[in-house]
Amino acid sequence: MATRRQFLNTSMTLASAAFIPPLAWCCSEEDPLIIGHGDYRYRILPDWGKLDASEFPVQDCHEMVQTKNGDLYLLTNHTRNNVLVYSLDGKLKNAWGTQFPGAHGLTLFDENGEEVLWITDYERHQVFKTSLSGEILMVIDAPQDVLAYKDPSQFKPTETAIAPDGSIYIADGYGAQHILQYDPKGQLVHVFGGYGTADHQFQNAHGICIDQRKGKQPSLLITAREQQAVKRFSLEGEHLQTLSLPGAHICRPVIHREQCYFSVLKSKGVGNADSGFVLIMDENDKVVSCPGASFETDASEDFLYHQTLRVFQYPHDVCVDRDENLYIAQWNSGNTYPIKLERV
Amino acid sequence: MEFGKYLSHQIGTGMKKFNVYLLIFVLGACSTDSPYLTARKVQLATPDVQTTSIYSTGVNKLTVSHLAPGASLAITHQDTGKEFSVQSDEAFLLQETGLYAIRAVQSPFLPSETLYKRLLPKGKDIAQLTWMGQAPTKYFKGGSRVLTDGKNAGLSFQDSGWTGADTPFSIAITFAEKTQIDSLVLGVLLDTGAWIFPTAEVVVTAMDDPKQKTIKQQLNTAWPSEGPQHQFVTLPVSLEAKSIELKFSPQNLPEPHPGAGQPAWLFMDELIIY
Repeated sequence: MATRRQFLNTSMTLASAAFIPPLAWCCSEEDPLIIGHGDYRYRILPDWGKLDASEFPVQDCHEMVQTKNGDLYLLTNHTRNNVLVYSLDGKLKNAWGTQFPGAHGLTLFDENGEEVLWITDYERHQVFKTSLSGEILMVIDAPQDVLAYKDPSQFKPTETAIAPDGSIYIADGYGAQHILQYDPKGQLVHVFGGYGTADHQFQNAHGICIDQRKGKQPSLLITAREQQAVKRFSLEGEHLQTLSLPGAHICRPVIHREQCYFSVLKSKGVGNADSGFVLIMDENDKVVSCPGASFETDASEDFLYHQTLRVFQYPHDVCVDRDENLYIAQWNSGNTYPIKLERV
Repeated sequence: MEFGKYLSHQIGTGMKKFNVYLLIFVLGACSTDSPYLTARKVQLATPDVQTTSIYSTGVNKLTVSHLAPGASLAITHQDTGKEFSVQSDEAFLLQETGLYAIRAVQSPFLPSETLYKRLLPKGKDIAQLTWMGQAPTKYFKGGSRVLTDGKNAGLSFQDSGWTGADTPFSIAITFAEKTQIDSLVLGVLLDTGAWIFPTAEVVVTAMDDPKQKTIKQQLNTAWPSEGPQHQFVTLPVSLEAKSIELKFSPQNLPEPHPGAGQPAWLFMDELIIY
């Protein structure tokens, strides 16, 4: 039986054949723009998630996840509706949440068959576990027995990651740059990281996830956005590796199958400030595609990743659906809704 | 299969495929409201363009980075209307004074935002530039030399090429000999979001000839319509001196700035005397 990818490839071949020269002239400028490289190329649906802003407004669109039933959950810091629930066709299914002015990190976790959300709020200096319908199940406050958080306002969490055993890891990316490990009941276990330039420290520990690919020992991937790098740690907090991505201010790592996807908030050195793009790594930590940006197949260590096309403004998260389409949530981008990238 | 049948089969199959292609093409051609983004609605990113110097004398090489693959630079010399096209791997020498408008182009994409580079004639040779009193403490990373080094600071106010202050400061300039001074050109930063706006009183005094009058000028520029800009402002002066004092008194932010009435920051690079 043909796989979906084979079917799509066949469809694409037919579609491409329809525009072979000399017929191409009449449609070439109107053909869908395809961005990305190698096997990871996409058509762009800019209006996929567009809603009536007078009813369902967004401010910054910070993060998105897809639940088991295929629904897509978007987190925004607009307190009229902090969470917007989309179906795959971009229609709104539900909206909830009015209490998260600093809504930033959104993580999905399957807790013994029941999916729950973890929301970080850097303005409330708290982390919330909620049901998919918005019921608050747990709250984690600033850990006041940690010196850096004597003043709770120094706790500005940006992301969470939940380990298979239920351990909770919180990245304090807008605060003291610590990574805080809690047990599943919310008791503080361990603190590591902190602000600095050493291997185990961070400048903007913005995003975090658990990497369990290829049956390896689970580890933590944590972005150091200002340092344009992603760092790998053991679940116990030992620094294992730093992967440098010069020029790319990466937000959070998103693992889907064997790939790791990053939204890149902005590029270093590009003339326009809103210079974001998307970056995709394979299971060997090799960059395989940069939709909207510069790319080299075998890039040297100092190759500078940068935006080349202004498709995006400030991408803040990338959500990958089961068909490997991407949904890009953007920060500070004129109250715009997520963009869909349809894989070709 | 016989060759004749094989050929007939292939032609039949080919015709079916052609019909499919034709149908797809016609349907595609009729579709005018595609939900997909097309190339001609997408703008190229703005490249980083640097020149060796702000002066037209000597070898002034233009270099570009962050250019999209396949894109080139379209350069227009605004004063003469001359146009140049530069590929990413080409060196381009700027030779004429005046304003150059530069943008990345590549069909069918929209051109990038336009960058402007101004090339100025070389000014009088300055023997010494010194700060009178306390130099700015925060935005003085490059020291005194950056004001006359002939290089443009970047558009970020944190670039070490800028000298910035929101309180009065004075600079003494000495020439090798008594010199006729006709005008003063100041490179200034406009970045209203960072409360940087070049509104200041500038007083020029001949230090070695107290009989000559002090010249007072008002530094003003038009309110910028877009992001940070590096502008050059000419202040007429008519003095003959070996040493002059330049006293800058930053003023308050004007309307319609949200901080109107609060002190404006004056950021300078560069200082040229003609």
